[in-house]
Amino acid sequence: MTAIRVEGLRKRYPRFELKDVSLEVPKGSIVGFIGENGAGKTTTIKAIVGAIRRDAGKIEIFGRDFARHGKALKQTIAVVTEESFFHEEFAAKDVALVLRRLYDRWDDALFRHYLDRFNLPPDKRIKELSRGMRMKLAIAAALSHHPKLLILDEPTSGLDPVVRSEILDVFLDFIQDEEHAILFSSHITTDLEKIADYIVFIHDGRIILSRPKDELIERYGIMKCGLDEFQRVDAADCVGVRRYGFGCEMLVRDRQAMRRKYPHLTIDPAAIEDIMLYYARGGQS
Amino acid sequence: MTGFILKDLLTLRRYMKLIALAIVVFAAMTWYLDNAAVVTAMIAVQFAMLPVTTFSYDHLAKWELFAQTLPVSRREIVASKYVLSIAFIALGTIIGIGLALVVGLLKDEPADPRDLALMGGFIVAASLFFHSVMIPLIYKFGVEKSRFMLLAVAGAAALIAALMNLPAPDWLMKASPFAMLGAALAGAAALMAVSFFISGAIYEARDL
Repeated sequence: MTAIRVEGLRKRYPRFELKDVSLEVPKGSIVGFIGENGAGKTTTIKAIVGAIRRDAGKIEIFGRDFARHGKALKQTIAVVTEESFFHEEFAAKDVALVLRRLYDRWDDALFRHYLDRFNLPPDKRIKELSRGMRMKLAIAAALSHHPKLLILDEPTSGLDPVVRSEILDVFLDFIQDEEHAILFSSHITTDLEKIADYIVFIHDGRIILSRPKDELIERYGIMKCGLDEFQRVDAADCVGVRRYGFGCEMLVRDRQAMRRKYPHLTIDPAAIEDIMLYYARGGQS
Repeated sequence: MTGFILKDLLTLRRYMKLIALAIVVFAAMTWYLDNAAVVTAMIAVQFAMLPVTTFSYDHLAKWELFAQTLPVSRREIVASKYVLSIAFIALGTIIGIGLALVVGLLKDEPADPRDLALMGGFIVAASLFFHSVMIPLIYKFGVEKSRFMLLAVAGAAALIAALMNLPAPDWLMKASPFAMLGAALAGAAALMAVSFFISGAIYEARDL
């Protein structure tokens, strides 16, 4: 059973459009949602949580139509975004006061546990917290009503590696329960390489890649050659090309097959970031 | 919905301390002024502006997107603002009237309870009318634009009335003040109900 199923989502703005976006977040998994700034990640997430009205498409959360059961479903969802949260005058204890009245399963002991784990003082106002501490507070608040689904929009953006690692550990703990799931939007692909099970890549409002992360890491490669050799490479073998000086690099989908086909060329494994860059540039650079 | 009302009250904590200070100043003014009605109205206006201030704070914190992720419907979010408005109107009026009453008693010039009741009633009606217009405007255009729009509309209305030099109709001059108050309160309450549905419809249709 899937935690999130989005089918044929469309949303048109004057200068941007989501085009038939479909994606799935299976239970027990973390789906990394990647794409450059303005590609449509936040718009898709806003549509999933009902913050924007979709022009077409269907959104199901745990098999139930979100449009009809949104309020009840939100009891099982937690959303953390980069910037939208309580006012800066609020302290952690104030956040708990409010959320206790909204969530049926709000757990004060669990909230205190996360505050302790993150070394967050309950009385300190948000405006006195660092960026990392603010994000930790948002995550502590998100996890304290026992959600089954986490939707994260750039939660690690702008944070130092130590804080990012601490936060990723919390998400890994959360996903130990196979009934749980995470949709994790980020352009920090190294974070997703650490924890994601699937990668969904959105570019210019369209999903252009949706695969298990291990498959991407194991199969995709960067093939390197001189410009003269490049003329002999079959264009259908390359997802994208970067030319520089006297040579070029190509993203290939199946590096084992390419090693057999072009045994004289060097092929290195591709990182998620490489895959994103080559797909975004559409074969030209 | 109570969570949202509590959120607004917590947001206004520091602001309310300023209001408390303002009340002390107003109390002193009431002592030296013969007309307590002005001060009572000023206190009521301070309280009536508080719900509008919560919209500004929401905007600053980009609260609306986060609010949308919480388990409440958009109509409940709108309802919480109206409940808060009515509560602050009532509180502001009670404090204003109470102040006039207490100062009158201390000065040994007790105010006429009938006058106080009329004054409080008309302040409530005017405040309800103000919020009925202001809240849908805020949902549609945001706080800053709405403030200017309301000022512009009120200014234009006052200007037109002044230019046309409209005399008060006879029936209005002859009507009992309490009958007028009853009509004003009923009209304001009806307008507020209509306003709630308009705000709900605007907010339901809005992309956040």
